[in-house]
Amino acid sequence: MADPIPGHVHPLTQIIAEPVAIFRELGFAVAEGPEIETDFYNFDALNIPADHPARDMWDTFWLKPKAAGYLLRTHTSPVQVRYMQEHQPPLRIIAPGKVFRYEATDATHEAQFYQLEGLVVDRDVSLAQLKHTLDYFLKRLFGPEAKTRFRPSYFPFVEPGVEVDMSCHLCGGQPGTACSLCKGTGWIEIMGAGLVHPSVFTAVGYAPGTWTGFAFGVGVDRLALLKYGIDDIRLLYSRSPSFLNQF
Amino acid sequence: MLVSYRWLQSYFATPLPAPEAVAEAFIFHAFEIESIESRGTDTILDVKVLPNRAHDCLSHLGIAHELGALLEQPVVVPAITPISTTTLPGPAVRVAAAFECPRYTGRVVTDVRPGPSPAWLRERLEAIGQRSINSVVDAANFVMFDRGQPLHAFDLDALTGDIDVRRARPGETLTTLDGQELTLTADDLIIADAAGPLALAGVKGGKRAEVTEQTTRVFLEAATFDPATVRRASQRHVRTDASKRFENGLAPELALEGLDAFTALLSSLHDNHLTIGSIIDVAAPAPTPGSITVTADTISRRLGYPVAPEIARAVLERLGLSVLERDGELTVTPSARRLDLTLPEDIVEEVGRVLGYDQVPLVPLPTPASQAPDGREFRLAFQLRAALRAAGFSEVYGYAFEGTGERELENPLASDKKFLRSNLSNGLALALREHAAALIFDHEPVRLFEVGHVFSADREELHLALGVSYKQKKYGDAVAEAQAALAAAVKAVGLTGAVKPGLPIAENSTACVLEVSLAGVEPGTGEPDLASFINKNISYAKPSPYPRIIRDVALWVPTETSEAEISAVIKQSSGDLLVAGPFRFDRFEKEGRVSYAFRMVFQSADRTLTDADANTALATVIAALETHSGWVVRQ
Repeated sequence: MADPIPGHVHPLTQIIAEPVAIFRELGFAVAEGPEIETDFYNFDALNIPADHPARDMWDTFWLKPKAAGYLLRTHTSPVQVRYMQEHQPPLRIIAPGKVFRYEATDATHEAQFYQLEGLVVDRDVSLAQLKHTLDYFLKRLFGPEAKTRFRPSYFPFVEPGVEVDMSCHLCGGQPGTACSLCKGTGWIEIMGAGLVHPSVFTAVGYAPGTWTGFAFGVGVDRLALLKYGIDDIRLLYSRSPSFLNQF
Repeated sequence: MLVSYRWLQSYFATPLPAPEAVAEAFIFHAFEIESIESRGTDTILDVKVLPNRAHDCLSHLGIAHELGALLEQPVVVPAITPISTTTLPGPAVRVAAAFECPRYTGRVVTDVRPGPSPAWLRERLEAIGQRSINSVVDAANFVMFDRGQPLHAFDLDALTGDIDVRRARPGETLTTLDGQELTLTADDLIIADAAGPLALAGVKGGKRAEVTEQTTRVFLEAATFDPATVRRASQRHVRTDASKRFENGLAPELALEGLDAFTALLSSLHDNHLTIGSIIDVAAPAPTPGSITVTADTISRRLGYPVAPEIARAVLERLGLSVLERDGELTVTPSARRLDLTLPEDIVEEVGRVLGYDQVPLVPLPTPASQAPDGREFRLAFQLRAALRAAGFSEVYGYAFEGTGERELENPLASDKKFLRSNLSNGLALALREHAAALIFDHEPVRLFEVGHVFSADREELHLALGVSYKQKKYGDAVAEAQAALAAAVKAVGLTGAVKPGLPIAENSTACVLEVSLAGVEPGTGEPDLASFINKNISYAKPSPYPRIIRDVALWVPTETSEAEISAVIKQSSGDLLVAGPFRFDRFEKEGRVSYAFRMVFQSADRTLTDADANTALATVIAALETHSGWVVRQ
């Protein structure tokens, strides 16, 4: 008799399990929340007011009726807002979850995908602690040779805001090669991060000036590409046996 | 925003470093650069200006100021030579509500002769992808991309009466310069005269007062409009370079500066033969931006390394800010241009980015005092995954959008994806069918599960669905297996609380899907062993979209021949086309020999294989097997 089909957990479960395990070692707990969100939790509380151009950074699915203000969350940041409302700092949470963007589908874009966001709130949280935490995480995930660097960027809910690059593991971070992954720059953009904006603390009801924090977010499909070479995001949400059975 | 390197250079008395070095300065201290392209003698940088800097850096002068601060090269802004003005007849300007239009500046200019622009102006505009139209319109565009203030010119002889800056009235329409007919709403802010709408404020001008080759008298406009109003109007009708600037908020100072620059440029394009009217300036009192107080100590603590007060002050002064420093406390008066600087945190960012984030060291978080519990759904999902995987079930992640359901989307991506799924069973049933079609052996079961959210009219819940399918009833009892698996999973994770299988069971003779709600269900005790879910040995190969062909081969071998030996020969001789197997599916002994039967799966990554291809591959395998003495392939 041939062997029975062994059970496979989905690659996304695996791709999420590893970062979660790493952050749990650093004292982070997993937080969760609904996929249908309100304008307040998805935008306003995160310093993204209505009629502000920053809203263009997230193409949103709205539910009928539009006037009711329900949408499909565009990031898992609302989970952090909800958690902060329910808990007093210090806190460390990681929020993996399904998110939605109103975008045409292609090899690198899907309307539903997964993100992993993290939040630390405490006294005297610094960019140096953020850098160390992300450097530690990326080295654990991609190997001890992985280097990290910050570049200035902007997200409404953090200030300062940064883009985080990781050294390219495909070409060894040698600039000038024709590497398909890093286009010869030696660096790959991997996630966004920053120090939590005071407006967010005010929105969740913390007294101004009491707490500081950092936050970061990474697309799980980005990790799937970098870690496993899965270069078509649509496969992750298909039912394809030839894809799923490899894991 | 497209930035011309030559245009930028015109703001510096000393040569700028090469474009790549300019790009690097931006990338590590200010903006992302999307591309650098040479175009003739110029280089065009596509600078990604994000919403926080859109009010000051969607212009070459703004970018030049930023670059000058980063490179510590002084920016030389040519002074606008004062122009003699005279009182000319023209419209008065009435602003209905100051908040809608905090500042409106305008003036009459006569003796204009719109014609082709000189080469230098055409080059500047074409370098950044703009079309040259006529000298008046080009001058307006140039100043917008130069200083960041959108401008407009009306043909004065097409205006009747005074100018009103007001909301549109029901029924009013506007035909734009492009010939587009807009139906205006009461939320649209317009520039109007006695005859009706002239322009959609901050967005687009109308055809009625268009400046053409015949125009001789113009009315110039440089104004500040409410950002939210302009943004809504641009989303409703059309987005333009002008609306993009207004929607981010512009400093009212820029309006007057823009008008002066526009006038000066027009004058020089007309050899200074223009007659220029005095400025009309309808301005609400501008709020004085408040100072920001922050200590060097705070800056150091947020960045994570010590920054001396004088270093912080020097950085801020490079950025054009006025700073008072005393006993380590910095009081910063923002320039009117930097509308984004209002909080101490904004100052932390200015210091941090200019000094460079490479200066930030790695400092570990302290060991936490305690660890909070993980979320209920997370623990539940991983416990169920562990139990079901052990029982031979594989996990599926389905798509949230379906053709039917109870929660409908306002803006679905496709007509068959208008609803959020109200159950997992629909998707799982489809998955069972797809996996059944991919089975290598007909008698094998398909066992799948999903844990995910479903959406009913009034709530969102976590559900578990599992499904079993057999190709024929004789191979197994799908219903019994599914029910047993569900009961075992529930028991294995020690679920307390009621598990209510109240959802439709998709039952037919060979497949069964069961679904349960996990709402209110508490997970069993114990943390999920995440390490057991991490598979370190995956070598992923992109699945081929082309169909596969299955072939079997059976052979007699001497009893001492191992299965592994035969397998190796098959693998080696079948080459790249073998994507799965060989799977041994039969073995029996007879008359001192052993018979093995293997199944092979052939597939190509780049084409549909024909029967002939598969037969050729099989023939190669058979030939290889038969080279071994005592191995006889059965036909």
